[in-house]
Amino acid sequence: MVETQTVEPKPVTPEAEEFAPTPVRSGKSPHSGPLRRVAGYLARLFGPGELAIGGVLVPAVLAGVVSAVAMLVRLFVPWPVGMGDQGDGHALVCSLGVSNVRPWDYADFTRFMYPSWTPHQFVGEACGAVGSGEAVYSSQLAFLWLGKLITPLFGWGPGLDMRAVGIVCCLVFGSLIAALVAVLPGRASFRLLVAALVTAVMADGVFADFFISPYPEPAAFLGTLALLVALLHYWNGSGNRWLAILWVVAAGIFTVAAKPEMVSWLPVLAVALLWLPYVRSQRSGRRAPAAGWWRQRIVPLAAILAIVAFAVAFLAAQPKRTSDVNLYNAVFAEILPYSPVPEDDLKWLGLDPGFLAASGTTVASPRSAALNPKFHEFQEQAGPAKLVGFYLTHPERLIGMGERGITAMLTPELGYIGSYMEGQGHEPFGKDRRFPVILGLFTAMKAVPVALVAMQLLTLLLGFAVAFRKKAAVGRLAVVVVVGGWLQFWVVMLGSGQPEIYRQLLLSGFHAALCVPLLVALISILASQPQKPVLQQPEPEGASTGDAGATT
Amino acid sequence: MRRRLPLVFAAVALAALALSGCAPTDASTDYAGNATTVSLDSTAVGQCHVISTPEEYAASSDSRPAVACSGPHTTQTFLVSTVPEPLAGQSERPLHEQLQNLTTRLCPAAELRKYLAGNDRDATAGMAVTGFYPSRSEWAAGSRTVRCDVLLTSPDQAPRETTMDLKDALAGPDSAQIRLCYAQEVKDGVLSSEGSDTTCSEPHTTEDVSAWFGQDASLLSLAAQQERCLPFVLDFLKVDVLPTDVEVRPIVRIDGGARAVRCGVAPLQAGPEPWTGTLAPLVGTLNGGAANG
Repeated sequence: MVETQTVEPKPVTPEAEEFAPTPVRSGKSPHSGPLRRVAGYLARLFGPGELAIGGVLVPAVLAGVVSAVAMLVRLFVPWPVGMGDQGDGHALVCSLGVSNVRPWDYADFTRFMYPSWTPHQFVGEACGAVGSGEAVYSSQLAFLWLGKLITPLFGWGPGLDMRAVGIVCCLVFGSLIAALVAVLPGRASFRLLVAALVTAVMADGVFADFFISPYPEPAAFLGTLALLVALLHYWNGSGNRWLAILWVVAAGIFTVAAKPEMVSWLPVLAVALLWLPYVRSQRSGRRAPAAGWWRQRIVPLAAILAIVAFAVAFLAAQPKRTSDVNLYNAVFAEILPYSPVPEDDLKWLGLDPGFLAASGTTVASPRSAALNPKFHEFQEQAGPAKLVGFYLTHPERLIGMGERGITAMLTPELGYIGSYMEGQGHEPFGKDRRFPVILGLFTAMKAVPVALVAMQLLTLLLGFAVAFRKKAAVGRLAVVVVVGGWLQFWVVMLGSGQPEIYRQLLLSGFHAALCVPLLVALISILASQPQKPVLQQPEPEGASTGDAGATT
Repeated sequence: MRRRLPLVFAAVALAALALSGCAPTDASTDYAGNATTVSLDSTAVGQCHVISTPEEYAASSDSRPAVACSGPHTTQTFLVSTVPEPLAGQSERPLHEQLQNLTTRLCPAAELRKYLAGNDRDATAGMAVTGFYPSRSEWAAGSRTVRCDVLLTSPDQAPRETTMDLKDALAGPDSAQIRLCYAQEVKDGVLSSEGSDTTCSEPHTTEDVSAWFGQDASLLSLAAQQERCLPFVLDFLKVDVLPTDVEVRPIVRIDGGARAVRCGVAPLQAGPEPWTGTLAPLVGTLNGGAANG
């Protein structure tokens, strides 16, 4: 059984009221002005109140339905918008036995979005990674497969239409929002506010347009959201602990499987799982006596091992072509063109000075180093270990790299691919700006890029404050989102380099954008001085003490 | 509610994970599950294939079986070659870009011209050359065969389906489909000096004879251009004297700011009108004048 207690406020004596000093920092009279009254009203309306968990089934379902419908309207009315394919989409989608109906020439098919894919039998290396035909894996295939199932229902032909995948993604997003409302603490209005802000982030065209695209980003976005919901549920400590961990494992595997860069989640996920759920003594309010460090963490450790094992297997199954291209980019598109002494860098890497002519190229450029007769030397000499060694001995390079990355992250709109379908009266390469809240925020921040880092740092600090002072899982979530975003950023910057930097950093941008709803939640929790988490519903009999929800 | 939600979402997540296993499993089979691949080592000059998507065209290898050239196809093998050293010595197949760079060397235009039975005065249009290399597994097994294919292309560069056999095509009656001609604008009964590329099977005003030179001050007049082009036109028509029903018609082309004169030929007409076909003589005939094609 779990107790539900509230801390009773101390009685206020008339004397105390009479002699209460006016706060020096305000310099204003204690009488509340209109602004303060509005703030008070908003705090009463949207404040978290008691950080109670559970008990909001109807609001959760409503939030899920409304957010899914909002995303559908946002993507389909008055005409569909999505993300044009720049040629990468085929590698993943072709495994479903479909071929994109689009113009032949690259310059033509990137101008608009071509969502229709018709049945086609690919043979051999025609299906798979561009340039090698190696199989490409992603959890996005689950959404694509479901989209293919429902495509005929909408009269979009026998193959696969990305608009159907968009519908699947919207429904999954709605489900995640419902789950988010269910696992958030506090009053229903507070939870709905946070859910609405998360929906607003997702609805920005820089993220939402990927729902109607052949890219794996939707699985990464939705997987990230699922992981956050799963972690909140795990940290809340309510319900069956095994099931909560299983949910984290499932969401973690799905997220890591979205894109190779998502392995950046692993360290954060490991710490998150070892950060045990809030469990307090029922009598004193203190933590229950530790049952032994290992005993408490043996299940989370097993979960971490499972996720790591999957990630290792997933990375091992990635096309060698991808790692070859990434290695090329890391040297010729990142290290050399931004180096003050590229000749010395080549020497450090053990490469011929003749490779300097390929500085600033991609592997497909006319000046590509791959066309150098000594390219085999590069393949023999360079490697991930050498890159790590290079940055360890040249740490100053990371500063410039970080600056370029932040600038790229604040430019999330991919101007080189269109958002609209051809024949809808839009200009080639036209971009969807129906709900540009994050695009606007990031564009404004480009004037002072350090504001982005400041926002993340503030989220991190407030997250720690809420996690340790208020014992609320939302604080931990903020820490995970910020640190996870930073790790994602550096994995992309060190692993993929400059080419495609804008698209690759969208996930880091998504993490940064989630700081907005998190900041609102954290400030609300800190400002409204809510009570510590309580469970509104009694714990069912039979639940172990260690699995019980947080109480005061 | 509190205890049911995790169950539901765990089930959804696990189902999604199971679905995510629906990835390609074997690159040597098609994605309908049929084993329809063939080894590159069994390829031969003259075989035809169907390449219908940009990805198939851009792939390093093609393991689809050959089709009859009398039936619809998009490519035809005009040369079978081998990857030279030092790339041939690599145990792992070279990068796609390295192989594509080889295609220009291993599948030269001279060999294509020979296959099409063309000569120095034959210019082609609407054709492209591509090379297919061993797959990664074939390379590891020791194959270094290169298949050089020629294909007809539409204006947007997509392969054009045809039933035409391209072997000796420039000497055949259907050569207009692959010969280079120019379509000039007719304004007030006068042809423009410039023209856009087209195949001779399409309406055009001038046929190319594969000779060009930079336009300097001595070649500003039409008469001077015609005089300079005359030997090439005679060579094209395989005659010693220009037939009375044919005229030399140079085309001016501005490429990158430089003006060039391309030599062309056309039937002598009372007024300039588009025509179709070619003036090239069929193999065995001695003079032109009849539009083939």
